[in-house]
Amino acid sequence: MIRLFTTISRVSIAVGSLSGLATGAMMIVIVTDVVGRAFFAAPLPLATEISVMLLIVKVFLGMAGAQATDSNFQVTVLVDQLSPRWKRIQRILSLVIALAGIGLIAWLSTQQAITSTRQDEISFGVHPWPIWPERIILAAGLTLLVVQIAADLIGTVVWGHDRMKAGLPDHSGSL
Amino acid sequence: MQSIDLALGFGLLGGMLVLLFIGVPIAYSLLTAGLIGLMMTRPWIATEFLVSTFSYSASANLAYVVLPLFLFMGHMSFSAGIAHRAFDSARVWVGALPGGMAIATVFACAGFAAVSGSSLATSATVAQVAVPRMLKEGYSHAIAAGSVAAAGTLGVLIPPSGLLIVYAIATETSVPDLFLAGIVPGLLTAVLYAIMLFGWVRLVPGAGPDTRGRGTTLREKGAALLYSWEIVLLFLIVMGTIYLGIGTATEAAAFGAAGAVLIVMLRGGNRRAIVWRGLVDTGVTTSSVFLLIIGAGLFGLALTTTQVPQQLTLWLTQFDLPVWQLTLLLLLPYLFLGFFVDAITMMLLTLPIIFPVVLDAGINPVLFGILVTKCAEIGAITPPVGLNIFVVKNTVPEIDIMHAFRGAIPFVLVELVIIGLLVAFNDIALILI
Repeated sequence: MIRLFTTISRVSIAVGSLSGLATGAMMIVIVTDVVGRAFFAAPLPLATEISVMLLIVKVFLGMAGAQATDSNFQVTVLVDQLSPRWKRIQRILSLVIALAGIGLIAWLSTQQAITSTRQDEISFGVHPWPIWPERIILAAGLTLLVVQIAADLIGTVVWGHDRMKAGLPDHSGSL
Repeated sequence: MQSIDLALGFGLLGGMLVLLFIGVPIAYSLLTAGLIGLMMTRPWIATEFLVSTFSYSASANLAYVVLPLFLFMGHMSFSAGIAHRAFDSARVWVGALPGGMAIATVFACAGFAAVSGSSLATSATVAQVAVPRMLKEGYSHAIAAGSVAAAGTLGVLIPPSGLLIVYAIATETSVPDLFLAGIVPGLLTAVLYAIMLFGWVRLVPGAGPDTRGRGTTLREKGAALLYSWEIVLLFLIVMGTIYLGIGTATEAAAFGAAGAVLIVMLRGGNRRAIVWRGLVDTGVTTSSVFLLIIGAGLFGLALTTTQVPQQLTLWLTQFDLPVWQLTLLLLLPYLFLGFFVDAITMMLLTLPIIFPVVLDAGINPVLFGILVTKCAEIGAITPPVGLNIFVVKNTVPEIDIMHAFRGAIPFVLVELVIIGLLVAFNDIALILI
């Protein structure tokens, strides 16, 4: 059974890793746009819109991976002093709070994505650009985050944090 | 009604701090407190609309693309071994001075900071090359670890800086202005660190080795400068793109990242793996930071509805303090929080409350960004959080952590002097704008 939960974590990390490619794509899009504009008077059409969409991909599809690898910023002054039992209680409480907060945001963002898709929401710049795919990506990323938090919660209750996270990569989230 | 709102506002603040203290990840603490605040102060239909659209509006902005691109550039610079070259070059220039290798470490950090926006990356990278050599040469643990941990903080002051970008996003301040404002204080910090290290080694027996007879010729110095061409090139690409009007900060970041990738490609080794690792790590950090930005944004919205920032502004203005006193007063929470939380968190936690006061008091927002960054630097080298110290310890395990923290004390004093100078003479930061 624990394999199901570690698989969820691995899927989150894999999706997060793939979303990392968005940075490379952003870099290529922007450099192409500026070179085209500066040297050939031919900027890349929709470069701004594509870059923003890639940012949405990167930010929201990476969130579950950040949760799976415990990369979110945290104040550990008190947690470091706790016994393993209290650490487990603290983590469960933490995950319940996260699940409630992110769950609500994911739910409302999903509603917004559905409305946006039904209405074929478009931004009007120089070229019209559909916004609804970005809203879907955002909702999908938040939903994956909810699934990851729920998996972490159940896994921590049943097997404990260390067993849940064994073998997963570790990242640092600080600048 | 207003007093009820205020009570709710302080309740939210207190609740959020409790969540933080019990170890709930900061983004989730902010989100939860923000959601509760919005639900208690607005009708459900308004809250529903705000929350359903907020994540998108808080992140779908071209100006924010700058953050992952600069993070990626820093990662590539780290992987390309640019810090090693910076250290070797700096050693040729200042190695013959008393405390020369520690001073070279400071300038290597300043050089690497010009191609990396991260304090931790700067400390970790330069520590790898500088600390073992300093220890071998006979520098004390305090001076070896203290110098690299403290100078590593230049990573977030000398542009490009990830922390200044986060500040710009949170306060809608101009990234190019913040970058320009970071240059002189960054260089001043490096110079004052160097002077302090010179005095330290001269005055304290056993702090560093005898460096007499290690002078280098002008020719060697010139060759050393050429040896660090990548730093100069990347810095010129980024700053040149912005300030010659070729492109925006975002476009400069894209060029900088592309330049750093090219350098990695030229260096050889396992290039594909290096680039992939950089993309993945940048992705994780970007997601964590944006979750924090969204949380802080929602919390800020809720707090504004309760009138806490506005009342704080009114309360502070009644004392009629001169701007410099008010500036110092507003920096106190940052100096305090720096002991317990990391720099990004500290900024995003406090700016929704403090920034309205900054604007109302007529404090230059760019200057305030630089001052907050200086406070964050102090937090990075003081216990118990002191991330840079721990990074140095992780990189060079034989370093004694207590010696490292003790070694950081003189640098903290220098930082306080610089903060005082910046508050007294704003032009140190603003002269290039």
